[in-house]
Amino acid sequence: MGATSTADRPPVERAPLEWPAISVRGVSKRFGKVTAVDDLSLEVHPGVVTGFLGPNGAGKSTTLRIVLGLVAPTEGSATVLGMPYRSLPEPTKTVGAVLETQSFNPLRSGRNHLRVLASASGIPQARVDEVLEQVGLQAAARRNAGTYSLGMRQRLGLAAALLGEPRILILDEPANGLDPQGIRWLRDLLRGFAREGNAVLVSSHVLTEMAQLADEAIVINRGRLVRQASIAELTHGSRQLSVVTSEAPRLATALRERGLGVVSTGDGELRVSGADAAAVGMIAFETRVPVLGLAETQTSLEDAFLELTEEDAR
Amino acid sequence: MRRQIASEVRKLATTRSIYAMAGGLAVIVGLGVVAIVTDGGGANLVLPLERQVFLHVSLTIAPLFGLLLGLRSFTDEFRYGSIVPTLLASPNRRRVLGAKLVATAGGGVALTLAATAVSIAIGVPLLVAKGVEITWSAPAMAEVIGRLVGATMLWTAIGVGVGLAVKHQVAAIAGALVWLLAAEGIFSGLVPDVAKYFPGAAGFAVVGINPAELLTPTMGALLLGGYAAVAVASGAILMQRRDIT
Repeated sequence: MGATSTADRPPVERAPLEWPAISVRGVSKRFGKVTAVDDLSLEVHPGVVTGFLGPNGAGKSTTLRIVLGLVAPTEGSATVLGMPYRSLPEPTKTVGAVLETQSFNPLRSGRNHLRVLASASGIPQARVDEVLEQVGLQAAARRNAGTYSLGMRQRLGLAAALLGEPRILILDEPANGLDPQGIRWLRDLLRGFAREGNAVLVSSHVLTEMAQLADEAIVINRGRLVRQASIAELTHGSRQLSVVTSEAPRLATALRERGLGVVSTGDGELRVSGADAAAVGMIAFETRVPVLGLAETQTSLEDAFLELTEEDAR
Repeated sequence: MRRQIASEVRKLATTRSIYAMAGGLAVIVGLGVVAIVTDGGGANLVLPLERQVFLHVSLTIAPLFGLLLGLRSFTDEFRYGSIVPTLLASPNRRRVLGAKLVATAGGGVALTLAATAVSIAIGVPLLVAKGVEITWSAPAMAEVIGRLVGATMLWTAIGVGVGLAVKHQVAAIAGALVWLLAAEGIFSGLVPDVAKYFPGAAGFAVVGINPAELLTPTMGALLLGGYAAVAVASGAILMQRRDIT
């Protein structure tokens, strides 16, 4: 890998960030007749990695671009540390962002790309070599960026985001093109960054990636907020029990009478949500129904996410 | 603003494009000068240096390279997506525009001066070899160079503005070339009294080409300046409201 993780660098002594780091209030964005973002409000707090989840076309990128002042919202406002991005005195020293995998001239070397950006932000050129080392790109630094692999392009984008030693990182689908080691490296980098009191907002439509990267999740679909919760809560909230019984209809009725969610999957199996194994076992005993099998099934984040976005679509 | 200009100059200097353009321009100018001086073709070679016909090659072609440089300034960034990091570092879009105007004007002037130096370096020895005695007047030469520099700066500004407004690189460059190399030529044959007010003709007028039929250099400069102002203003207005998606 050759990449230096943030843990190897001396900790930066900086005051904790204001709360919240990013705030989106009542933002809507319409492109012609298409509503990309619909009355969306959310907050991103320092200290944790916040995942921004949603299927393709949910409005994630548009929202991030509104936060970064690249797209003007039709309604509402977005602020970074209480200010619109375009009013920040030193934007790249406050926010580092990676929006797409190709955002450089392919005929310019990776190093020169960063030097161009450093000049624009008044960042010393020596910092360029530091970030190149931090993302493990020093060996390819003098090659034209057009020759980079997808993973190297992601690293170049990340290097650009880190140039100004920002307090907030905004990354759109950063794990695209990274191999498993690359994702682990990214996770360590983001976690370390967040632990120093900084804020991270990272979008993805791939949930397994998100489960690895983020602590908190903001789920959106069709431009609307579906849920803001911790990753643990998201998966926990849809924990289910699988009960196998010879008298499924009777047990289902009894469970429903007690306000539990029951879905029959056939073959005498019921999927119960909203109660733990002990409670379901007791209900079966009281109803005098034989229980042939009882197991807790931890739904994956994938299922939780599909459930959330499908509910919303209905 | 100074930072942004430094960044834009670095952008120009760190891809091969500008060096390739300089090389291409030098070759075109060199060939043109050789053709004019050696062919003779009845052209009067016994003239002071600043009025030598071979200078017309760089006077007419070099500013168009300035235009190309200007057209590429924003369209390269839209084409490759580098407009995103550029605007993240400098969210003030007018400042980015201003810096690009300054940097491409500098780059364009460097190109035209280099092209003129090449044409003199080739033309003068050829004239001497033909036995022509070289005479020149420094003020007159300075005026020629001054007009060339002015025309180039206006052309780069037109390029920056048009590129920013059109956004699409191929459309911007193809449109500009078709207009200058084909459309204006056709119009100048059909309606010369109107066509002399078109940008290409105004540009020729600035550098003193064909003063009998075109505008005076001063009028040409005012008109070309007007075109540049319109191009830059429309680019700026569109850019201010444009969503970068």
